[in-house]
Amino acid sequence: MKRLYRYLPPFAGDYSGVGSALYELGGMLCIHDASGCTGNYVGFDEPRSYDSRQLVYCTSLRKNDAILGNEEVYIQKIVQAAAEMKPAFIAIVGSPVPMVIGFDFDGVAREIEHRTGLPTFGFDTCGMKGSYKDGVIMAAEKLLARLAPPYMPVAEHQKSGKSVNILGATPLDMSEENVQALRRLLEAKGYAVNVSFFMGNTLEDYQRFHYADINLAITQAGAVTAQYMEKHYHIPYLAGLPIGDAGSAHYFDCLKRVLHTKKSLEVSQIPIPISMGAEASGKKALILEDGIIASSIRTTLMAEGYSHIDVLSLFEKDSGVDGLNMSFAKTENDIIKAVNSEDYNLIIADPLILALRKNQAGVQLIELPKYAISSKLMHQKRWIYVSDGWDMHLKSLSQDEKAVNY
Amino acid sequence: MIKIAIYGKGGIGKSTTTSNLAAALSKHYKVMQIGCDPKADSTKNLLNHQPIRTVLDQIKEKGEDVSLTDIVYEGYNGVLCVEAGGPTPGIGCAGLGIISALQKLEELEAFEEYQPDIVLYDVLGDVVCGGFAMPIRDGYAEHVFIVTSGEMMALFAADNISRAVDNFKNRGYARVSGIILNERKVKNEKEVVQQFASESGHQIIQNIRRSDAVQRAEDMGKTVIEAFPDSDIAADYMKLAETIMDICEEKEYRKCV
Repeated sequence: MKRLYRYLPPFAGDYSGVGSALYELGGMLCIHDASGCTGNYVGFDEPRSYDSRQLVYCTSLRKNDAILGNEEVYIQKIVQAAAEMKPAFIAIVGSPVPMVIGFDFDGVAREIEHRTGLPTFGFDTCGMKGSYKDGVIMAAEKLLARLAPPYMPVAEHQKSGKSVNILGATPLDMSEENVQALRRLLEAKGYAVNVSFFMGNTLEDYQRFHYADINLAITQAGAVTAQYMEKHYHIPYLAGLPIGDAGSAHYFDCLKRVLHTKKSLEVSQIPIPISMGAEASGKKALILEDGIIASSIRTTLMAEGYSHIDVLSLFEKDSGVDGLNMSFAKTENDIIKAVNSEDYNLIIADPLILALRKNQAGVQLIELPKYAISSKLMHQKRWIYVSDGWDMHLKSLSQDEKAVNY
Repeated sequence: MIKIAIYGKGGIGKSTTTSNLAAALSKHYKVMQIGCDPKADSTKNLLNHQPIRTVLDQIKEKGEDVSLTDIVYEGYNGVLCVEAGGPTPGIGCAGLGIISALQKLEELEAFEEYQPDIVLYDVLGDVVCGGFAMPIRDGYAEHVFIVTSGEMMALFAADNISRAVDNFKNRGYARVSGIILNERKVKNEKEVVQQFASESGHQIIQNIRRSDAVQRAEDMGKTVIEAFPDSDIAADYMKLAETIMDICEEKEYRKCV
């Protein structure tokens, strides 16, 4: 019972992470379920599904087929749909029932690939452990394993020295507007975005990922993928986001440092210049988010004079960077306990989490809608926090406050 | 690392064959034997009947805190013994139990930690559901050996296993690399099994003679390799180990060239 979510909706599952990651790549997504998980993905976890076309199929798994192991029924359906729709690839994605009957996703994917000639991926997701983050990581690793060329050092003259990949970008973690703001800022600073995993590129683009000088991991999913790419392709990475003017300046200092030293780091691992009197300000903040996003917000808040900032990662321990100063929420109870601590002057989180705060007097609550948590319920409240969007939003909040006081 | 699955009808002598094979191979290699049977008795003769905790027992008791030392036991001549275990009799799902146990070993990086040269999966009876096919999936065993006698039910089960493996040929699963004839003194036994092997496109790779030494060794909680190393049947197991290594190494070599 301890693990039951009573007040918050269940966070987007691993199958939605796979779907979100592969969304733009022209594949055919086949969710092997009775239709509930497909409904979750297209109805609640994919904002792009409302106004663009995507090939998503539900296999409509039935009791007798599960008992009798009638895999052939589904294989034929998928082969037939692929012949009609001609996708670039096929992805077979799992849900709880296939997990219980031990469905072999990789084996069936091979079988389908043998019959269709199309690249086919099996994703052993189940929607019952981990979160969308695990699905995004799984998608990245499977695509890389399939599309990536064997490691060969790229000659220096083939690299620009300012080419970057963005890793871990899906709408479940941050809105398209925020990813666009990041791209604009990078370009304004003279960096070229080589490939963005997984927003704004075609399948073919992924084959040139190794020409980047650095990977920019903007979420935990991105950082875990970056670790994998560092291990296999020797591309160093910077984990974090440029948030606010001070945070952005710090971010680009870190970026230059990684390019120069070829040693990966996360933005909070390099001290940010702290404003005068910050130590004594006594102001305390709490951020509940993806660990990498939250850590970047913490860096900005430190520059703004907060003397103590706690980060509670909502999506498990695996943050892609060792030794980060953050806690991990395992249950809804951990979230409720943290958000109700009386210590904080400022709490930043999804509106549904902030609503769990009982005593709202004397604490500033900043809403940071996250699609993986509140889906379309809070999507209209999204705002651009990357780059100078952070400062502009905070300014508008304080103006609103003044207007109310007036 | 060579990974082998031993299949066959229940009671045909799979565990006896597998543990004697493990004991014979352990003379030259580091071997891990994984019992994939809810009865959890695959490795008992390598461990002098010392009871061990199964992977599923430990998952039930310790949850996420299970470590390799909780589930891997060292038996005769350093053979690493693991029993997947099973659910409470009458309830639960044994197939899913096998899947969970093998996934736990993977998660704990058992092969990376112990680096065995040879892994033997001793799998219950027939391929009855997805869970019992887990050891022959891609990434697990590459070779399947089927233990059978000349008895009709044993041959029926062997045929089912052979067909199941053949059904999965496009999925990158293991292939049948040979038949092990475990004699039961049935009339025309060799001929009958030879006929089955030829019809299903396989070869009998070893004939294990019937011997009461097996029972006597089992009563002592030992394999015949340990208890009666000079017996005829121990020689059969030693020969089996040699033949299996020849087959597996030949295939490894072919993969490389």
